[in-house]
Amino acid sequence: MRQTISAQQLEEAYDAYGTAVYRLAMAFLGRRADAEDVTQETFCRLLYRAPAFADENHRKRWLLQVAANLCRNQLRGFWRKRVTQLEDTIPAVPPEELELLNTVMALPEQYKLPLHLHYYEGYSVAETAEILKLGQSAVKMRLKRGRELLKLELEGSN
Amino acid sequence: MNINDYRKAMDHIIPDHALKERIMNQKTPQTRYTPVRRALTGALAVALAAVCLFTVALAASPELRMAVMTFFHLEEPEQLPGGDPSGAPTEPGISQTDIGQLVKAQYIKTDRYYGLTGGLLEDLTWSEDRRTLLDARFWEIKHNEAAPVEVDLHTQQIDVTYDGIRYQGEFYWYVRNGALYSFKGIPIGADTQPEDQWYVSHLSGRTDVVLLHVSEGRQLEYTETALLYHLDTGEVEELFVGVDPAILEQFDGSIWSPNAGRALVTGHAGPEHPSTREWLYDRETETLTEVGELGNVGAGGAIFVDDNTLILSTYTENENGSQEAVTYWVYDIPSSRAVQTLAQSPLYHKDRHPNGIIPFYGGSCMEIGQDGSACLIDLTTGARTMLENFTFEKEMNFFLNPSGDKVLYYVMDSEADGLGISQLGVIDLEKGTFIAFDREGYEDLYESSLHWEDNRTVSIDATSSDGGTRYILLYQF
Repeated sequence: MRQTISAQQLEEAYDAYGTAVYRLAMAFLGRRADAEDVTQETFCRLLYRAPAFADENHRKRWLLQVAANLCRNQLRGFWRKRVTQLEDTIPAVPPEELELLNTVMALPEQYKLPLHLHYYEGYSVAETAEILKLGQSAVKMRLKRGRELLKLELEGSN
Repeated sequence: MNINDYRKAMDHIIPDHALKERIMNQKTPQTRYTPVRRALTGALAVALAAVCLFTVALAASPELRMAVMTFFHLEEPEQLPGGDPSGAPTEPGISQTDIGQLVKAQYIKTDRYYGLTGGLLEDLTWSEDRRTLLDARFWEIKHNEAAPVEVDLHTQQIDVTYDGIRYQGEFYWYVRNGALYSFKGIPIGADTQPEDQWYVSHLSGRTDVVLLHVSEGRQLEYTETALLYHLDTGEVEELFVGVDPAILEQFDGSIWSPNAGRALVTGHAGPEHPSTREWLYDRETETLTEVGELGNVGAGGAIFVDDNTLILSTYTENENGSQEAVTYWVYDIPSSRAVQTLAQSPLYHKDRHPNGIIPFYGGSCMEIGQDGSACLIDLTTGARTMLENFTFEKEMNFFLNPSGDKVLYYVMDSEADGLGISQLGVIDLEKGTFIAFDREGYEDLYESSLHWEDNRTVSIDATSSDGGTRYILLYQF
């Protein structure tokens, strides 16, 4: 298959957005090996199937969209069903923050990506809706429910 | 939760340097990619041929006409507990009801979290490092009370050396009504040591052995294998006998057939194999076969239906990685024969594609028509069963039970706090029944999870709106 971008362009794209793609995958999948596979596959698609990007924001949104789709696909596989919590391999995170991450991991699937894209990546509701191919009302509803569930779980763990 | 805490925590998550190297060295795309239009054109030709054949077959064979299952919507709604000002009991309190004389519902009310395993409520107290069980109490749910019950709880010390790593710790198990149940502590965070990297899973119907899954390495080097652990002697048996050690090192997960004779195994991607790999392992013949080679159909994944049967699948993706269509085969392992049971059918998408296939990730799936009609497809035979008196709407969801013979049906109220399950039901694939009921009072609860507790019991976890009372809601259809 023919490459659509050069190796240098791939490296530049990874340096700019690799961490964002990886974090999105970790937020959704919670396991490093899986997040790495999704990140690799995302950039593999950039290498071989990249469309023409209008600007850098477009490139980043496309990468996150591909990563989100791959995360959903991976979670649909039966291999993922037993993994429910963020793995305990992040020694640099203080315990209370690790607990918060675990709480996000424990959210139902449909809330994780909207929360991450909106509150961590800073995308608007409209941009989040475009990346996730959802209606804006659906994104708003999921953000609302996700916020409520997080509060609930934190109260429950205290 | 303060969202800034989430941001701070997420800032700590940084990919390993080796990942960049792996990506820069990748030479081939990971997954098979078939352009949707070309695939659908091919599928159309196959479908037209199938229609011609089917029309002939239908005329000649009346028994091939589509079966029908009638949706039965109970008139009597469920009246949920909640908003009860009397407060939660310090020990589990039980109430129960029959909904429409067909569904038995039990409501367990507590002041804090209790687990539920094998029909027993459990209250487990762990040491601070969560390695050691300090106390365990169990209750049996009987009619309107939770009766304390003693179980013969065994403590199993694990001390197993595999691939140079000594795995240690303990887990706890008991047998009740002929089934084995177990649990172990989960050491927290940075305290986790290499010897902690194991967990236990069960084999259906076996109370003498468990599967001991041991892993090592992190990230790109993560590997996991399964050993057969004998509960009476503590002896372990290697399961992947005859596998090339170089391939064994790539294994990162396995799912076993009910009799543990075969396993579906995944291997992680790496510089030489950028795709996540999947194999079928046969213990008797000690052979390992790539799933893509089974039946020469180039499948991307597989699921056990029984000891000798797999459902193979290939999902077609568009250029953005979104799955668009699916093909299924039933694969008979002893004869190595694959028969296609669903050809390149578009997948249902709530917002983008309102008709198509809803996968159940087991031996069946559902097909939604443009008019909201629905039919079940048995992926082992291709047989279809039309759901009569039922119109699909996008708020409806389905979820297969572990043994694959019942499908949970639920509707979520998008305006409710929490999950807001407004309708609940079950499709019994063996009995050929589909019943559901409306729920009243879910707005007064905060429902946080819905799942199969076992093969016939549906469970909902909820709290009162003030968070002071927890509920476990159980339904047997």
